[in-house]
Amino acid sequence: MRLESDFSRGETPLHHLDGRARLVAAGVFALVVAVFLKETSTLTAALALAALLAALSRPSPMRLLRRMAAVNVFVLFLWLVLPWSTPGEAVWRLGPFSLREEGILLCAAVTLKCNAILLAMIALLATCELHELAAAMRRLGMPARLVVITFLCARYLHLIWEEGRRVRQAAELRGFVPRTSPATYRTSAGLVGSLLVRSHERAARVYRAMLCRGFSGSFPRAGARPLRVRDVLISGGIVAFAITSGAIDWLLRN
Amino acid sequence: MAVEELIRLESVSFAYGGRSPLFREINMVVRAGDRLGLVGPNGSGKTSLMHLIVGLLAPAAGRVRALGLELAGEVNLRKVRRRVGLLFQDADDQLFNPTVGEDVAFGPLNLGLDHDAVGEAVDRALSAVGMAGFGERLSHDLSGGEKRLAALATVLAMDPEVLLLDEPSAGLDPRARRELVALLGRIERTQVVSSHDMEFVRATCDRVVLLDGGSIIADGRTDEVLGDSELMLEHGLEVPYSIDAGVHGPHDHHHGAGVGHGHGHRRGHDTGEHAAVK
Repeated sequence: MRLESDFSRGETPLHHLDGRARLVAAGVFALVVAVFLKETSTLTAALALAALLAALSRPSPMRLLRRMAAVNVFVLFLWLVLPWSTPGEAVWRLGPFSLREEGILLCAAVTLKCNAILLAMIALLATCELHELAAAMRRLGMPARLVVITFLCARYLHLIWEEGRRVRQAAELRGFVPRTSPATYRTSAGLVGSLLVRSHERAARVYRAMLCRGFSGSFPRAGARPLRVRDVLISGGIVAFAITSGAIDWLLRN
Repeated sequence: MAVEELIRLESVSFAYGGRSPLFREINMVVRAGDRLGLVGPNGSGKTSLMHLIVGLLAPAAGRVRALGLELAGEVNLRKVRRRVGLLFQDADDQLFNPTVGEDVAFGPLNLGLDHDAVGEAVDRALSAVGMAGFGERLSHDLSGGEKRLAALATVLAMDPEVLLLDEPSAGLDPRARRELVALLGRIERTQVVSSHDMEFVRATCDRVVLLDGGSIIADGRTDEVLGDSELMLEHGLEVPYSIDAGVHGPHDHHHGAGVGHGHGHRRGHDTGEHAAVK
């Protein structure tokens, strides 16, 4: 696991977008798409905008497809279950099972929402490095402690992952093979416990190292850049689109 | 001329909660220009002593003074940590920002320096450790030796008067270790080096303090302490091969042929005084 995302390196306008503009645009877009949009037409428009943004950020197609595949595996399971189990009008029958229109529409909506939000997040957040997002969160007024916790969690996830891998390898080298047995459960509990203790100790050491270099509770940043016209235009455009599509969706339903 | 006293431990006792005392009324002085090696077996308290000096640990009894300040209260702790830099044993503990440049900038930013001054401090520190141009590199992608140097740069960027280096040569290959010896030789600051690597201590320090069993067992010139085979074996250490082989140490020129110092380095109860070298 790497600290920066697979999409953070690039020279497109989206890669140079201000962190605050990203967070506001991504937050509003995700909220509106997840909560307010219900109509297939507005959801399709949201997906189209997200796909356009993702295309503008010029990601590696293979990486993008891998990321989308991971999310859509979950969606696929919904398609296998919901159209058959959601109450509604049957459009096709297979023995005792009925394929229902409401289930199909629900799955379509979930698919559109998931992919629209995923693509928007890749375009707006994954094109930014984590420390820039942390600084932007702080500048948007989020509590310093929360920002530090978020940042350090992300920073040390890979270290904890590596620590866990080493602990598991050490066990495997001494013949440990996970099975469904009390011995495996005992060993696994021990491994998890060991990982927690190691993580806790490392966290304490990192905190001490930070104290030694004058840390006083928040990450200081040099030279906070003012918002540029381009930042406002891109972010404002996405927010305006989200609000407008929310309003149209509401009108279509009423 | 009296040499400025930078760090003083007076009758310091310390124990980790519920365990037997790690230090019992120890006394130690570090003076300006000292290059002091802390040696001792595992668990003798080398790292803890360094943590006491920067106030990460508090003594159960006794006093720790650094740069004329009592290590008590948030204000004094900040002042001391600003001027006494600690290099941690594990570089991964010290490198918590995404890029090397940001990690090196962390300390100067906390000092409240402006953007240009931070940039200058980062460049100066990276150049000092031979890592100019590494600012954009990702910290977790560095090799072990590079991480060690980057961690040292994070400390140097604070422009400390005293460097506390905890096992700086651990895990380094011979070339990286040699380069680190040369680098520390170039850094003209008071240095306290804790290490199990006796050759490294001999190459970088002109004075050695041997810790064991909660006390300072010996405090004297490097070759006098490290060359005492009986003393070293008694405390789980070994005489460096270079002494056995009769190779002159880099600090031999300071010794004045050992006149007046002979075997007077063993200490039953430490007084905090030693012959200032510089």
